[in-house]
Amino acid sequence: MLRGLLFLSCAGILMLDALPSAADDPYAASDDTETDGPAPAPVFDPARDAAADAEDPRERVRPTFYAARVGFFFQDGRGIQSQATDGFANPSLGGDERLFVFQALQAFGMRARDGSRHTATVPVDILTAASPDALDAISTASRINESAGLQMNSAFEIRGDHHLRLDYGFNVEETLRTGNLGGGYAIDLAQDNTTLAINGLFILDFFDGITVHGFDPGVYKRRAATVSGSITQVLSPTTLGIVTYGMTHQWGILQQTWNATPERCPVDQFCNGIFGELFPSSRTRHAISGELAQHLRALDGTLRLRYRYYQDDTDVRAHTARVRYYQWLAGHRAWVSAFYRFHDQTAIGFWTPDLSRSDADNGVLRSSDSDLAEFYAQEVGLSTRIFSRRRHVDGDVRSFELAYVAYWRSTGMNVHILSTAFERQF
Amino acid sequence: MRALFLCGFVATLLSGLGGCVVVPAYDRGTLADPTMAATVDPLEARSLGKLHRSREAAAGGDGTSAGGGCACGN
Repeated sequence: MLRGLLFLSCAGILMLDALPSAADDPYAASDDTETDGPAPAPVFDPARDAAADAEDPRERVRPTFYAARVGFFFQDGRGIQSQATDGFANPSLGGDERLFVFQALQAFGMRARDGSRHTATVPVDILTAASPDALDAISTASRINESAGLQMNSAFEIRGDHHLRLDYGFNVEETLRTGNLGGGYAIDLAQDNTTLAINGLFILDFFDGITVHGFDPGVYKRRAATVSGSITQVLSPTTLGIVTYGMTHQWGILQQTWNATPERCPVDQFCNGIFGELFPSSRTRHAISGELAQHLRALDGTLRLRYRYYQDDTDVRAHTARVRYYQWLAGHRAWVSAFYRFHDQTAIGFWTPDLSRSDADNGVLRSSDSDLAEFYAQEVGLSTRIFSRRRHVDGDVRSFELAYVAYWRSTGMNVHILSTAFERQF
Repeated sequence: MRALFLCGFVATLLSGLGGCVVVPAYDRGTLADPTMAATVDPLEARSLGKLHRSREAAAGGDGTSAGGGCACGN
């Protein structure tokens, strides 16, 4: 079913590209003044005019944009969660975590008669892995993993300077299901130089709590509530600043029940036990970020700097910084962009490469997930986007992008991403 | 060395926030440049955001699901 969805998505790109554009709008005014003589007097026809008004697309919901992005992710590395070997298994390095992800994202925007704007985003992921989970060494059940979802965002303008938003959606991935519902409020101040916004979102997850030994005890729940506030400030005719703070509180079964921690063997003894990951029943996360966007008129480019600090009550501290530059080319018909990102994190407080049986029996918190270990990561990206016409001109604009991203961690994992994107503004 | 780099980065960021003026609407044309939008490419941000949430421990606190819906969130 998901493969069929992917095929339909690709067909959708071709179909939506063939939609009539504003340039084809029969109601658009013509500036063609060259005629062979005076135009014939229009014949008054109430029925025809009423029918024309009813069919006028400007009076109904109309599309504002369509965007699609396809990405190919190639991951290579090692981790304790994987039992896949390359023939020379080294327990200290962990198993082979090579995997491939095909990702297709689509977004549709529309504008209703009352001025509200609505966006639908459809993500589809297909993941194929050698054996990323301890459980898969037995069943290979997750050799191919598929997920799909739908996310809706609606924005409503109230009295000009006040805005409301509504967010809701769902996602399904094999044995995991999630739904979310939230909203937000924003107000423009100081002649629209300042925007204050606050948003909230509630997330509910259902998943089969499959254990490291393959036992399925039934459906578990996990909940999260997140609140964030932001200030967007115009600092100069060419400078924009954004500061955001957010908090997320999670509760329920927070561990990935199929993640394993190897048994710590007593000296001179052999053992090959594994224990399931164990998290506290709640977790609170905080993140604050700041971003500066500076347009450089002399170069006709934009420099963006972003920094984020993260902290939670499981002792994880993280710093993330990113610098990005956009350079316009060919009279605003194309741009090239490059970025560098650096991420540094501490390990989760109960991270361990192994655990004694007595500690496991006593319910000691543990995780051997390589994603939660202490490491730093670097990332570089390069992309180019070409537009069918000057980007600032109203009307139908189509664009095409090619991008490459390389991501690598100090623990030896690396990811290469090749992606392509298409967008049409109606 | 890492701490020094990050401190320098934060200082550069904060220095840009030093001046706040009311810019009239007729002088904000440059801010309409698509490269000046709060999120230049939402789909790219979503795609890379999922990579970071699934391969790092710092998800959440920014309106995202922070582990919801799939086995990838940390």
